[in-house]
Amino acid sequence: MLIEKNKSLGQKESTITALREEMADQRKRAAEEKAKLLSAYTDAGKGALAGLQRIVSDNKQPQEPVGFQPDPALKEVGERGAIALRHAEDKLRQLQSDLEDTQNALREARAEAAGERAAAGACRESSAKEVRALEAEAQAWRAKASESTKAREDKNQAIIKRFDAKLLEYHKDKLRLEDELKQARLKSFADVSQRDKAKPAQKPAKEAAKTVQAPSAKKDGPQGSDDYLAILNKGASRETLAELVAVCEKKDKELGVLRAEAKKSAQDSGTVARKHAEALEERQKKIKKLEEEAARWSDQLRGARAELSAEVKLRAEVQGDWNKLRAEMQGGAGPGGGPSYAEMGGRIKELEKENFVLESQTTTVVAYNPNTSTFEYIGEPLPLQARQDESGRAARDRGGQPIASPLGSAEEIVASLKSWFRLGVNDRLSVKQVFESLDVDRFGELGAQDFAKALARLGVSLQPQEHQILAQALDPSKAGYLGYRGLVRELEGVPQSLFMHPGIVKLAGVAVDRDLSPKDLTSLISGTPAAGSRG
Amino acid sequence: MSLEAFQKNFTQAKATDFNFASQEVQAIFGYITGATGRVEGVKLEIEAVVQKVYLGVHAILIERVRAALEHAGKSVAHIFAEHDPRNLGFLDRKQLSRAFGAVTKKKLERNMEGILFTEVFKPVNSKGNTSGKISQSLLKFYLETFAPGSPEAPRKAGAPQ
Repeated sequence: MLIEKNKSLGQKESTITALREEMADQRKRAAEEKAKLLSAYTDAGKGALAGLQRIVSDNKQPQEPVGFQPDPALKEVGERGAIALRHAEDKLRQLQSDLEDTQNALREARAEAAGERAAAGACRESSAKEVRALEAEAQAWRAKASESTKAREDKNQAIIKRFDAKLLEYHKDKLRLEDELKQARLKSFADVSQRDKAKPAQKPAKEAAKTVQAPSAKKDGPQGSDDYLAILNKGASRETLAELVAVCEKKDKELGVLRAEAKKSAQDSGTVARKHAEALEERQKKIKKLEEEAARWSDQLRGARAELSAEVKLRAEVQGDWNKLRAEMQGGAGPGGGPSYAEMGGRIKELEKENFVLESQTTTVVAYNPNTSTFEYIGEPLPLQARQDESGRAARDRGGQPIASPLGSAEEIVASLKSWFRLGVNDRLSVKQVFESLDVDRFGELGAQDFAKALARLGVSLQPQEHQILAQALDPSKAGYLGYRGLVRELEGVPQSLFMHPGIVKLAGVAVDRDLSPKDLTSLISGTPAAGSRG
Repeated sequence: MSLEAFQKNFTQAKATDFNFASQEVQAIFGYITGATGRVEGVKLEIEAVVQKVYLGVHAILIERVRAALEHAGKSVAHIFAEHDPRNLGFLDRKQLSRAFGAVTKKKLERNMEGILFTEVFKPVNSKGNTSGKISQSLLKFYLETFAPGSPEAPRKAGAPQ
């Protein structure tokens, strides 16, 4: 049994060894196959990569394999899809254009409102200033008028007072003189009658005279009652009476003179008073006029104040709206699930900045250069065309500057240059003279640097690829000098074949050589025979 | 017109003076239509080709006349001195045809002469009507820009000064 077991064990061991050997062989084969496959894959990958690189370098789409016929249904679906995509792109562009229009209109309306606000503010300020000035003027006038009135009144009062005093004095004198005259007359008549009665008895008369003489013993002078007394003292007689009468007449005359003087004085004082009254009336009129003027200014002031208060009210309303909008903006998402106000505000700012940059770019700066007698562009030279990204907006680098995409053909470059020289005041640029000013030898050619310099003086900066394309047309022999005359002629409006497509130029040459009319050429290249065709 | 039809027409019209390779025809097709790469479904308008070609014809005619004048050592002033005895500063089509014929030794064919005189030089009077007479200054502008004492470009729409 043990022997049998040993035998079976030996068989199993030999089987295990055989299996192990077989496994080792299999592993070896697998490794070999793996290596083979790896090598094959590597070769295939390299081939595919090389093919792709060739395609990319040639900028060609991979050709479909010979004999490959795409499914017409699939092709139709593809075409339909392409059409739908084009439509969608058109719509998107339209929407973007609409958005830009709306934003432009919004910007314009804002600018207009700001302008109107500023104008209203300036108007308000100027009217307030005017009103203040007028108030001050009116006040000054009022003060002046009141001062003048007071002075005039004082003067009038003084004149009236003086006149009253004079009049009083005159009346006093007059009364006194009248009394004296009356007394003297009474006395003289009394004396005369007494003397006539007492003529037979001289003595008592003399006594009487003595009694009368006693009070007038003192000498007062020749005038007044003393004169009468003196006459009486001399002894009244018909002669003395006549003398007395003469004195009375003299006194009457004096009284008449005094009366005339008093009358004249009264007349004078009346004239002065009338004059003063007239002046006073005039002043009063003036004061009234000034008061009316002041009232008018006050009305204007009230109106201006009312306007001001209305403006303040409006401002408060606008401020309220603004605060409300700001609150909404800070609130988050916008109405209708669209962008929030904050987002829209940001976008508007971005667009305004973009617009500012674009406007700055389109603002042309042309100045006369007296050294070269040319009109040159004095701003930063700009690339010919701004590259546009998928959304139609001008692409920008990290600094926010527009990235210019190089133009693909000489014809495009020339067309872009033409449009540049038509822009704004750029038609003043002296294109020909600028090129000639750098071409000292007048060979009609410029080195690459001078050519770029000339273009920079015309406000244009070419990108290396564009320069290369233009150099191919202007320097076909690759001598390093670009003939600028053809370019200038083309820019001036004389067509040049230099910038045309070679195939088109060849066709044009055939048309000239064969003397083909446009109709003949059409029939030739469209395959429809024309009557009288010469091709 | 598709690219295939366009190429077919060029092949049919092939002659010693009308020999265009397939690549050239394809390039013209691509240039006019703006199609790059796949051209399936792209159509070419023959009118657009003809328009471009006749702009090229204008350029070639101007260059040829200009080169002939230079070669003959003549200027526009000479031509006018010889053919404008009354010194009016204008030449009509016949006079100009004779003048160019004398200078170039080879008269332009009928169609090309017509194109040169009516389309390129565009003789119009001050009222904007076709006067049929071509001025010396206009000829100088087209043929002698950059010559000594050459005139400034006349004011034209789209042309910088």
